Amino acid sequence: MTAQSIAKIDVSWTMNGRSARAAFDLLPGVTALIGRSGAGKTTLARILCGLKQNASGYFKLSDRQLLQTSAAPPICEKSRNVGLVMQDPALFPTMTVADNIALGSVMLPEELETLFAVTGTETLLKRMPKTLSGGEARRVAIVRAMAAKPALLILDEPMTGLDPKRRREIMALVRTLAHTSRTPVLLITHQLEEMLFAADNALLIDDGEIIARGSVNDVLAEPETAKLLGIDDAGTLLTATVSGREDHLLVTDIGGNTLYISDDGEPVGASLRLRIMARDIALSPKKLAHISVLNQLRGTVAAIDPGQSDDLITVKLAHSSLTLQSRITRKSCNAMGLNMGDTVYCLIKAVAVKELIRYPSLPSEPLT
Amino acid sequence: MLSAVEIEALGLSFKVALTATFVALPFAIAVAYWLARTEFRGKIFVDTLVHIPLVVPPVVVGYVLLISLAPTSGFGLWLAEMGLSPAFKWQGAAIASGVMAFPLMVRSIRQAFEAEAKEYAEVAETLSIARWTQFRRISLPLAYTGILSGAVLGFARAIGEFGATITFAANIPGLTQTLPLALYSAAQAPGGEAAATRLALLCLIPALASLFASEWLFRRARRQQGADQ
Repeated sequence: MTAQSIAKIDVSWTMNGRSARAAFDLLPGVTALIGRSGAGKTTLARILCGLKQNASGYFKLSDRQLLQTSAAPPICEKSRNVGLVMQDPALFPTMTVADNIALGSVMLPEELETLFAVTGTETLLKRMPKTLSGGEARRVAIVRAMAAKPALLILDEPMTGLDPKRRREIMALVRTLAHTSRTPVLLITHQLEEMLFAADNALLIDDGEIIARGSVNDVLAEPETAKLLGIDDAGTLLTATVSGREDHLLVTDIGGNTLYISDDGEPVGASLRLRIMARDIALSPKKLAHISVLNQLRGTVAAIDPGQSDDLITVKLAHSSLTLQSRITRKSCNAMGLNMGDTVYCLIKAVAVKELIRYPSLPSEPLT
Repeated sequence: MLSAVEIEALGLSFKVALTATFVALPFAIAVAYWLARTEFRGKIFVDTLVHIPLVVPPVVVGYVLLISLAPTSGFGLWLAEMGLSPAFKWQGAAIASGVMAFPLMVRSIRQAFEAEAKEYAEVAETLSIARWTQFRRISLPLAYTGILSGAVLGFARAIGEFGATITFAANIPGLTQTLPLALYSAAQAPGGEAAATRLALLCLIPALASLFASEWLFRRARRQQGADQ
């Protein structure tokens, strides 16, 4: 278990007559467990929650050993303090939203009030589950799970069946809760978009095996895994803060660098997740005047990954630890004579930056 | 119009059937929940045992009750010494009716518990909600129409009970003579056809009403479960 990890997992089970094994360390924040349907995601979630008992292996969460079948006698804790929100919110239909949340809650009243405020569920408390919309029901299901103060929260495709706007709301909520409550979240999904929007780290699962792991950017940077995820080019995910407005553009800050992007009406101070595709970044050895491209970010070449006809250049931005990936042709690379450590300017058109999601404002006090 | 004996039989029938239903109901709920939610070795034998009154002649059930609870047995003697002997009393008729109604109640209530979406129990497990609280706050309210349906069905069965009652509680007018027993006596008596017809109609009305109510509740429960899931 690394210093950062909050859970160590190495479990085996039988899937379609074959043995499957998932071994990984879980890090704080939101971790997306992504894979196609039938890859073993839900089975793994049920094993971790203790709902599927016939698994072997090892599962340690914080300081608690929850599963260790090799121990004598074998350890298999039934009460695990692992929250689960399924595709079906499964709100208890005969009680109000407030009672649904209160039934398993271990939070103090003031903690619950903060949770309701952060999640925007105060107005739903007196309603019966059947009167809620799909998005509201998922929101309540997540709040209900959080009120039990889980040591780990597993969300099993919680956005299935929601329209894009509601999905964004739920993804923003997941991210906000994970970071404000410091509860690690395992987000199970087969949607690349959900991983890009909400996750800090990613685990790619296929046929019951974890085939890639790391930060979302690391997983996306691997051409093989990017291809498995259906991405046709590398790219970079960035978290930006809106610092102002200028000539119908948003001025954002990414790790001390200024980035202009299209103005979608986001308020100053808003936190945005942005994605820039490698093919949308051009490189220049010096800052250019009289050019339509507004963003010229200085950095140094940190890696050159040669492809068949073009190269993937990783640039470490000045003043920060952020990196951007740029795909340029071999011909351009040769013409520029690029070498590791060279200073370059990343040229990014404001309209090429895709705003994925705006996170809600975070409360000043973290949830306990 | 009804005679005094018939009115007495009608009143006694309701008293016996209502007592049988209310006493048997908590046991039926507990057994139904146990069978619906638990897998254990020997479950098939428990299941069979619960359903025995459905398949054996009611006289057999009455006879078993008689030899178990009448003062001829050790337990029956102890009950008699405590002044609680039910044999040949209206309480005996209620016990016989309750035993006969029990499997029907269990079947109906068990269906209601089994129809509850498994996600509720799983979510409750992950929320560390105690089993008793799960039962009381989640399963019981969800199954209430099924429980009502089972209770009404049990009442219908209890009010029409004959074989076990006559064997265990006998056919004593004013004491243990319920509607079916009064009908039997009237049918046996010379010139009792008119009384027997009246009593037969009296037997039919609550039975049909109960069956109708039970079916209506069952359909409502199914609709509700469909809407909830």
